[in-house]
Amino acid sequence: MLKVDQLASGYGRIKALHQVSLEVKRGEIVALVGANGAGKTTLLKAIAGVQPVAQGRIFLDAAPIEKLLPHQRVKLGLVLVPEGRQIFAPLTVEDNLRVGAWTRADDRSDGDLERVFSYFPVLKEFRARLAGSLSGGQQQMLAVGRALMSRPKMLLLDEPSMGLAPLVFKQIISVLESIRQSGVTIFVVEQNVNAVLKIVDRAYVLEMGKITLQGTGNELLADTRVQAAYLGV
Amino acid sequence: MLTKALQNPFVSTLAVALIVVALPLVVGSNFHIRLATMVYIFSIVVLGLNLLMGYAGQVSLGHAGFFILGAYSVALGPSQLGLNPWLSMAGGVALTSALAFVIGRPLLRLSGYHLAMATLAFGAIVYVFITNEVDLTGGPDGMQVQRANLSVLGLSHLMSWYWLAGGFLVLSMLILSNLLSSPAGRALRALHDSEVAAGVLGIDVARAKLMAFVISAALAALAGANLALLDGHITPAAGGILRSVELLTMAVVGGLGSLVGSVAGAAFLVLLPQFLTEFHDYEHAILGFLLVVIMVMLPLGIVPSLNAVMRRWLP
Repeated sequence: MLKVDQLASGYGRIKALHQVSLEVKRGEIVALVGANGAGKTTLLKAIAGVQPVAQGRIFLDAAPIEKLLPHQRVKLGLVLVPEGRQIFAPLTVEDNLRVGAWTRADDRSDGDLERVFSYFPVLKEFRARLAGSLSGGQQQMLAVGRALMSRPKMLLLDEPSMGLAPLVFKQIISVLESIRQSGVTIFVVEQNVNAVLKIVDRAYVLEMGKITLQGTGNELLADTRVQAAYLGV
Repeated sequence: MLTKALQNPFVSTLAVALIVVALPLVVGSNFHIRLATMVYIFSIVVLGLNLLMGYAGQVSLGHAGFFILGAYSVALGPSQLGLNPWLSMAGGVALTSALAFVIGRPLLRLSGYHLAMATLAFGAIVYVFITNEVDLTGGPDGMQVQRANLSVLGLSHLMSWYWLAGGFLVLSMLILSNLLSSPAGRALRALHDSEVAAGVLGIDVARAKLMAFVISAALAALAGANLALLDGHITPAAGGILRSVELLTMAVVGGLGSLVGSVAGAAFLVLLPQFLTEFHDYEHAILGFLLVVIMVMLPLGIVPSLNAVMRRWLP
């Protein structure tokens, strides 16, 4: 479904990604793990179109998308849940969700709203509140829910655990599993390596802008290099 | 409940409409009617500027340029092309919108201070052009504007423009209320909060900004045309850089992100100098002082700050 081929990107003269290649197949849930500054967020932003690509190609369903603007990629079904959530604080919870349905000109978003509420009932309870007044975990749920409103084929999540209590993150992870079962392919970037490797089909390890390891979640959990570098075993 | 109703743009539109209708019953003097008309005219520009700044989050220091283009279109249309003044007004608004569409694309790639500088430069170019094209525009002395009013309906020139400007104001508020309650309005507010987040949700950020820019330019031109037709005379000074600053001040003092705030800001800056004239030489010093006091006491602008106070005290 998503294929990244020899992708390079950076900030000015500093190269953050060197010839990164990876693939996510339809229906999979795949993680990209790595330390701070490894280039994980840069890679996701490049896939979503908010970070310029220096070299390489990105394909969605075999069509090249690296030249498209962010909103054009959304129309093709690729939606990013950005790092730090970036919910619209001055808007209500419901308005945040309805903004997410923007690409669908019909604006018949009530059905999708109910679907998001079924994943995150707390959002229904707080639908009239300003998004800025929600807790961190609720804001993360809102960010995921907002992305789902466009009925994406593929969801990109950047660091969904950031700043969350482990229990809240567990709850979000279990929803990711149900979202995948509803047919959405998921590519998630995470620093909470232990929690995320347990639920994914496959994962890539990114170090200093290069993919250094890949395998199934369990393979990587058992890998001594991963254990030493990320799991503190 | 009450505070919620006050924040509803349709409720504030209705309130403004009632004021427009009721005011002539209360005040009779030509002087006061003229002042009210000026408030309506400036409210129209500031509404547009508020859409651009308060909702889409893009600053402009050049809207006096669009304002003066609208004003000169009703002066030049009849005198140069022999068009009727109403048609000139419509044509002026259309041409100014088209111009905003063309220059908006490159300008809106900038943001923050750079956008402020670029729009300031645009306003300066329009001002210099109008001032120097003496053969066409009469230069700094300005030019006469062919009289147009609703005397066929038995209205005086002043009352014609009172009703026309009031009508345009209510109509503009109605259109903006509709826009802001639509998905496009939500998209604008979202983009103000975070352009990156809006972009990755599928909002065409450049297009949404351009839409706000063109609408605001159209309203500025409409207001400029109204002023020129009301006064019957127009000079470039009506659209200088100070006018741009004044418009921006109205939007900020009234309250960014509030439609009725635009009307409040325009009313404040049109009416207050009238009350301060008895201070003669100190008029501007006192006006400046009051502006500082307002921005310190009501930092969100008059209407949003009062709303916040009421939310605290009322259920």
